[in-house]
Amino acid sequence: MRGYVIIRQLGLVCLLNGTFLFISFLISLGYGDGGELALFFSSILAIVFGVSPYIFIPKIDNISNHEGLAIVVLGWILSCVIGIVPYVLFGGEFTLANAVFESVSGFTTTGSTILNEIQTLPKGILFWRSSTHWLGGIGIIIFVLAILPQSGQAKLVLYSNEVSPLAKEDLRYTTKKSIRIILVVYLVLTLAETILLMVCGMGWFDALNHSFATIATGGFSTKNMSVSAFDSASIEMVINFFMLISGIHFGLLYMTALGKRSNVFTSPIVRYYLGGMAIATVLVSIKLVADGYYPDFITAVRYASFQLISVGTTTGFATCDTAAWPPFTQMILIFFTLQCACAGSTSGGIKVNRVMILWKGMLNQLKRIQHPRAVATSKIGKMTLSEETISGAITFIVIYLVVIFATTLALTALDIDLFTSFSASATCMGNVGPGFGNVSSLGNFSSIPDFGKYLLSGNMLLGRLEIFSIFALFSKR
Amino acid sequence: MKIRVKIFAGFFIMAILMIAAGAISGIEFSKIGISINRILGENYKNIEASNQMLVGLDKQNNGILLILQGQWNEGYEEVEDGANIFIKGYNVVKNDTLDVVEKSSIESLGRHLSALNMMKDSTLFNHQTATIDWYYSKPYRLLTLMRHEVKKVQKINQDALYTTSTNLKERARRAIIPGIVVVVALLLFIAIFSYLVNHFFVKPLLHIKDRASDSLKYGRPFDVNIQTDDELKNLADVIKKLTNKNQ
Repeated sequence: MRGYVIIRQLGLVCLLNGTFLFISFLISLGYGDGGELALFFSSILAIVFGVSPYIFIPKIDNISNHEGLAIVVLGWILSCVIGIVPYVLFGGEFTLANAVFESVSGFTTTGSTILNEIQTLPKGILFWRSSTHWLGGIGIIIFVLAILPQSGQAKLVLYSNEVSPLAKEDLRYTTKKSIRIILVVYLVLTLAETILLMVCGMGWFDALNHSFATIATGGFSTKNMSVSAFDSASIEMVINFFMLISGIHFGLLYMTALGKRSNVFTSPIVRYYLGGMAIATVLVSIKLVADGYYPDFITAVRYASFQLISVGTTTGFATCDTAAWPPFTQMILIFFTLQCACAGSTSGGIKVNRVMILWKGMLNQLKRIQHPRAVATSKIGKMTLSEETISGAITFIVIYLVVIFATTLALTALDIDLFTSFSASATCMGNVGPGFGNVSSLGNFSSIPDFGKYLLSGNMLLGRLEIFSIFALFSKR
Repeated sequence: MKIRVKIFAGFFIMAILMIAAGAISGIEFSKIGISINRILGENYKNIEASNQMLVGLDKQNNGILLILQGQWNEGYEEVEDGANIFIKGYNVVKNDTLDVVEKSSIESLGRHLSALNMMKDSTLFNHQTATIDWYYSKPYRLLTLMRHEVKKVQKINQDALYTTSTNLKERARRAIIPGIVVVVALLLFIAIFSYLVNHFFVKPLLHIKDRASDSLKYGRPFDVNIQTDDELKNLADVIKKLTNKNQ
C-alpha cells in the first residue's frame, strides 16, 4: 500500500470539508453570532492540510483496491476528526468526548446529539452540523469523486469501495454516470425540500438545515425540540415525504423520474419497504388510539407515521416523545431501528435488502428440509440470489447483532439501564438517532459517560462503513 | 514544481498554522483582558459605590434621628456628611452603567434623591414639624425605598461579576485550545512532511546514487525513473546523459 497515494486522496477530503467550514464561517460572520473564530481557524486548518499533498505528490492514476479501501475508511475517519475541531474550539457544551460524538454522529448521518441547548449555538456552527450530515449522507468519497477531478481507474476503485455492494446491484451504469445520478438526485431532493419547507413557513436557514438533515437521513435539527418545535402539520408532511423518498435507492428514483421500466413501483424491495411502513403505521396508530394516547385515528397517524418513517429511514427527527408510548409500539420502532431502509439510499442499518435476502434464504432452507432432493433457488424479483449473497447477508446481520450486544454489555457496565443501553447501541449502529429510555426521541446522549460516547461513536462508524470494510482494510493481501 | 518551492511551501504551511493559532489565542486573550477590565472597571467599582451609597443613606438616617432627639448640630452634620457620601457613590454608578435594569434603578434613585432633598429643605430644618410620626411616614419610607434600589444595583453588579468571572474560565480554555490543536496538527503535518521528503527527495537521491555507482562499477545502464518533475529528474537526466557518453 502506497502511503502517498492515500495522503493525496485524503487531501481532497480535507479540501471538501474545508470548503464547507469556510461557508459556515461566512454564515457566522454574516450573523455575527460568535462562531466565526472557531470556524475560520478550522477551515484554514482543513484547507492547508488539503492543499499540502498537491504540492509534494504528483498526479496518480492507478489506485489498488486495497488503497481505495484505505482511502474510503480513512476519509471517513479524517472527516470526523476535522468535524471535531470547530466544536472543540467553540467550547460550551462541546467537551472532547461530546465533540467526537457530535462529529461522528453528523458524518455518519446518525443524528444523535449530546446538546441540551441547540438553539443557543451560533448559526455557523449549526450550519456546519447540518453540513456534516449532508457530506456524510451521500458518502464523502462520492462527493469528492463527483466534484473534484479524478482519473477513470481511480474513480472506479474509490466508487466500488465507497458504495454498498447491495446498492451496486440495482445501478448498472458506468461509474461516472452512477456518481452523476447520485449527485443529481441528492441535489434535486435537497433543493426541492428546502423550497417546500419555505413555502410551509420555515425560514430559509431552518429549511436548508432540515433539508440537509432529511435527505442525508441524518436528523440534526436547529431546534431543541426537533421538528415538534414548528408544530406544523404541513412541515411534518413535507419532511415525512422526503424522509421516505430518501430511504429509497437513488438510482431507482432517477429511473422513476425518467419513466424507465425498472423503477420504485416495480422494485420488490421498495414495495416491501413501503408496505412495511404502511402496516406498521396502521398498527401503531390503532394501539395509540386504543390506549388513549391520541384522541382520534388521524392524529395518531400523524405522529405514528412521522416517528416510524423517521426511525425506519434512519433520519431521527421527532415530533413526540416515543419513550412515553406503549411497549408494543416501541417494539415496532426497535424493529425498524434494526432493519432501516433500502441499500443505495443515504440510510444506514441492516437494510431492507439484507432482511429480504435473509427471509428468502430462510424460506429456501425450509424448502430444502421438506424436499432434500429439490433444486431450490431464491429470488428477489428477477434477481436470483447466490449462496454467497445469502451467506454474506446472514454473516453481516449476525456480526451486526453481535456488535450491538457487545456494546449494550459495555454500556450496562457503565451503570446505564438496559433499555437505554440496548436502544443506544442499536440506534448508533444503525445510524438512526433516537433510542429509548434516557436517549429517547426528544432526549439526548449528554447523560452517557465519556467512555460510552466514544464507544457509540465507534459503533456509528462501524455501522456506516458496513462492518466488512474495516475487516477488509486490516486483512492480509 | 521546484524542490526549493516545495520545501518552502512546507515551512510556509507550518507558519500559517502557527500564525492562525497565535492570532486566535491573541484575540481570545485580549477578550480575557476586556473581561477583566470590565470586572474591575465597571462591576467592582459599582459594587463599591453601592456600598458607599448605603453608608450615606445610613448616615442620613442617623442624622435625622439625632435631629428628632434634639441634637440639632450633630444631626445636621451627620445628614450633610451622609448626603455627600451618597452623592459621590451615586455619581460613580450613574456615569458607569450600560445595563437597562440598572439604569432604571439609578433613575429611580435620582427621583428619590430629589424628593429627599426637598423634604430636608422644607421640613427637616423646621424643628416644629419634624416629629417621630413624620419620620416614619416620610423620610424612613423614602430611605428604605432608596436602600432597596441601591441593593438592586449592587445585586446586578454582583451577578455580572459572577457571570464575567465564570466566562473567563471558558475564554481561557478557548485561548489555549487553538494552541493545542495546532501542536497536534503540526505534529501530524511534520510526520507527513518527513514522510514525503523522504519518499520524494531522499529516496530518489539514494536511488540515483546507487544507480550511478552501479553504472560506474559494473557498467550497467543508468536507468532511473523519477516520478516528480523537479531538479531530481533533471539530475537523473544529466547523469544518464553523462553515463551514456562515457560508455
